[in-house]
Amino acid sequence: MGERSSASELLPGTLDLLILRTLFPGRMHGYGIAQRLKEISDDVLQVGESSLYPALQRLLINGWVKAEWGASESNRRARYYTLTPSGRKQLAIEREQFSRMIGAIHKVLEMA
Amino acid sequence: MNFNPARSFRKIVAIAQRRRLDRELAEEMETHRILLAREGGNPGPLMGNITLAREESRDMWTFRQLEWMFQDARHALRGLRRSPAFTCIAIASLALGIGANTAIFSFVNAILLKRLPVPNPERLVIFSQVWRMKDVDEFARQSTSFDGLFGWFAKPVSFSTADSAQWIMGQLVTGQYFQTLEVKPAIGRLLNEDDVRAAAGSPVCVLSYDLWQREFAGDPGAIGRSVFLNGHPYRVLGVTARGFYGAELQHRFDVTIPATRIGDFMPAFGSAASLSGLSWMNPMARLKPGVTRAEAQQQAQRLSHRLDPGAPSELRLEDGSQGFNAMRSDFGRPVLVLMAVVALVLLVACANLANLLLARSQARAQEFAVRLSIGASRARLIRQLLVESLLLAAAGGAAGVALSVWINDTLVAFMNTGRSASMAIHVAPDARVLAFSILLSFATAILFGLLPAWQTTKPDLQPGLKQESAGKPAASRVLLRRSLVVVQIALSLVIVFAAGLLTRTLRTMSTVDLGFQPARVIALRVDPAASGHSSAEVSMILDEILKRSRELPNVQAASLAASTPNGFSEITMRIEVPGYSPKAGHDDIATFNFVSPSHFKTLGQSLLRGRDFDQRDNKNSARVAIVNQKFVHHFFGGRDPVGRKVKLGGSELEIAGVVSDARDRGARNGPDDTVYVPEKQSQSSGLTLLVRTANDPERIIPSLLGIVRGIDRRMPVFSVQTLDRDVEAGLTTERVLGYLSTLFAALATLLAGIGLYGVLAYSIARRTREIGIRFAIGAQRRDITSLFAWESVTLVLCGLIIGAPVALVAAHALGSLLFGVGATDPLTLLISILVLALAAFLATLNPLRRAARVSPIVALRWE
Repeated sequence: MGERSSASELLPGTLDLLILRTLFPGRMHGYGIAQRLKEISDDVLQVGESSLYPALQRLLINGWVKAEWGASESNRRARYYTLTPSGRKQLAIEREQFSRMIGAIHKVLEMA
Repeated sequence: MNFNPARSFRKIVAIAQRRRLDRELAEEMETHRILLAREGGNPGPLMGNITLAREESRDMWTFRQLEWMFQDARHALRGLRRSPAFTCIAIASLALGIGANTAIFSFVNAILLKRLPVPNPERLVIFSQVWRMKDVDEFARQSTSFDGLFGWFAKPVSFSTADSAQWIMGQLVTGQYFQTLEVKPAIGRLLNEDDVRAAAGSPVCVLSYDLWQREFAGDPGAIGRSVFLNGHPYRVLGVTARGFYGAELQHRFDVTIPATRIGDFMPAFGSAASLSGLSWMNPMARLKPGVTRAEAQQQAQRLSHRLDPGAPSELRLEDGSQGFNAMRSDFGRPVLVLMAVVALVLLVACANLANLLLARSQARAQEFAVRLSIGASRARLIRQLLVESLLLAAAGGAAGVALSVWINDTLVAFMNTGRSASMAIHVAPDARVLAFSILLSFATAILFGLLPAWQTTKPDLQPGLKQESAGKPAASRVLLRRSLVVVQIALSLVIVFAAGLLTRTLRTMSTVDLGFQPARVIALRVDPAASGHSSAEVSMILDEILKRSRELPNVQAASLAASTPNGFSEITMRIEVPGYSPKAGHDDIATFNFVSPSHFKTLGQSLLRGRDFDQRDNKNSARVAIVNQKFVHHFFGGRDPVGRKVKLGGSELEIAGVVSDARDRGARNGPDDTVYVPEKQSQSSGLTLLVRTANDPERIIPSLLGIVRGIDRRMPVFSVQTLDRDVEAGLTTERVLGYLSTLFAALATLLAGIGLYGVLAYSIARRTREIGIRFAIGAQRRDITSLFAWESVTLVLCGLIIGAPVALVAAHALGSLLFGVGATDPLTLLISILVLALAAFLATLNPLRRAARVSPIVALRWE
């Protein structure tokens, strides 16, 4: 522990937000999401299957993303996820909440 | 988590496709790993636990709670199958309890809750008075508070078409009947004011949906056809909507007739015109929206004073949403009492089940202790136990509902003894009754399941993990089981005491001297008017029947009478007695009966003074009357009235004799002030033939029916049975209450006995080692027996001491239902206590014998 930050150490609910944000530009499969998160965060955020797939199922059940099967670069079938309109709304809400939370944490760190 | 219907729907879809989803998830993760491996990533620790990931992903699209529930249910089913004796006892006692409650509730529903199946029944009101037909018309015209008002009168009528004849229930109504109730026709059209006005010239009627189906097989051609009501042709105007049976709920009215046709059904009254002075219509009205009952009542009272200043009582408006509810006053209180009794029985049954469950969970205490210690949550265990209770309650409830249908039918049949089919009471369970039984089953499951579940899962791990048999189970558990038995005994005492009071009431009422001898008297109700005979013919036919029946062998006496004891008709009129000034409102009202000579001989009333009626008292002779003792006491202060005159309406009657009092309206009602008038000098309708026989009265029935048929083959006989049965029918309420409460008391006592047995047996099993030691150090069997006898005596005493005051207080609710016995009757209480003590004694015999037979060797080796 200590070397890598895994998703389980993120703030609760943050993974959902990150996935939603990652899917914002367009559709992507599970592995792609994990890779994208890793790249953008400069390898800080490495999400394992054990957090990623439960989170994706949760988003599906909530109706924020939808999934369809398509071909992947490895010639295997892969499941691609897309944001739904209600997912976009949710993204806006969670972003807003997250900014407020970060702002608050930051304030505490500076002033306390 | 807050409830989200869309999410739940997606979950349900997901459950339906779980196999596919599972497969797809596995495939998706496999792709992930392959992609990762291809790029040289490390699938090791980063990948995490694959199985866990799949489990957790799956959790996302299932109702975890629901899954667990199914798991628990499967588990519970296995457990219940392993102990069939327990399961059978539990389901049987629940079925009895829930079945009895459901059956009685269907009566509560039918009598106290059900409303007329018409739009906005809550706006219907009924009036506390009986009106003349012209009052109904005046009210309908003048009052502004109502959207429609009508008068109503129920009368059994003979219904015949070309091929068949039968008795059905008819209702005579005024013009606004259907308009007020807002009933729609199934076919044709319904009576309106014009039809009722014109009915004198063109008789029309409306049929019920049932009759239309039964007699015309639902043929639309029935409209416009002629049917015969009491022998008179009526044209069918239409059929009422399905499910509507008239302005009263417990009877089914198959035909609706304009009130102006009353002459066809009460021929002695002549025609409707001569009825103008007689009050016979029951009024009902619909309040206008926004008008309250109080406002309407005020207006109605003003109007009533103007129309009939001498009305005997103040007019009140009552709730009419249930229609004219004949049963509410008679059976309303009895069914509530029965409801309370069966609820108590169910409580006793619940206590019993809780006790059984506690004993059962004793055996599983170790299992639960283990599960608690390896991290199962207590809530999870409680839920598992509750699921078991729910399963039991569901099975018991289902069996109970089936049982209740049977109980219901039996009860209805019992209440209908002595009533002809057309007068039969209908009590059908409906959706509300079913909902009640389902709710009740759930409530019972919680009631008997929660306490044991709470108790069993108490996290005192140490003793539980040890060998249970050696350690003493928690003292609180023993206390709980004993308390349950005490509660059972206390509740049973309440039920047994109530049953005792009701049974003594029944006995007093059936042995009370009614003032006449109903044994060996046959009452034959025949109405020649029903086959279309004129008033004069009716009189001749009845005379002929009377004459021929007197000639039959074994007949001691026979007579005709307008009212018979516990019959359905009663005639009251205002009477003027010179020298007597009425004190209060109803003080000058007397009950009238129109009888033929030798009526008192037939019924066994004795003539005290003067003479009986004879052949000389006919239409043309001076009008005479015979009065009873009560009348003499009230109006003449006990002085001999023979030869004195009383005034009735416009005419004078000379009192010819005095007879002994008879309680014609059952034992509860004292004799009325009664005036007997020769039927030849009266306008009576529907006379009953009474025949006293020397021996078995049933044997004479065929001869009597033969006489009737010999005179007119088509003349329908409304009923023929012994007067005993009529008198018995008057005791229906008391018998239903007496028998059922006794049955339930026996059931409760049995359950309490089982409870006591169980606790003692358990207590002895638990202390086997102690018994062994006691024997080993020289205790006698007597000592051991008395050790446990004391335990049982203490429990029973506690139950009785708690139960006795509760029983005494609860019995006050019986109030007016009791007769000849007080609600705090000490003898009944003593007997009830003895009954329970005896039951307790029997329940303890076997466990005590077992305690005395414990062998010290076995006991000490027991561990």
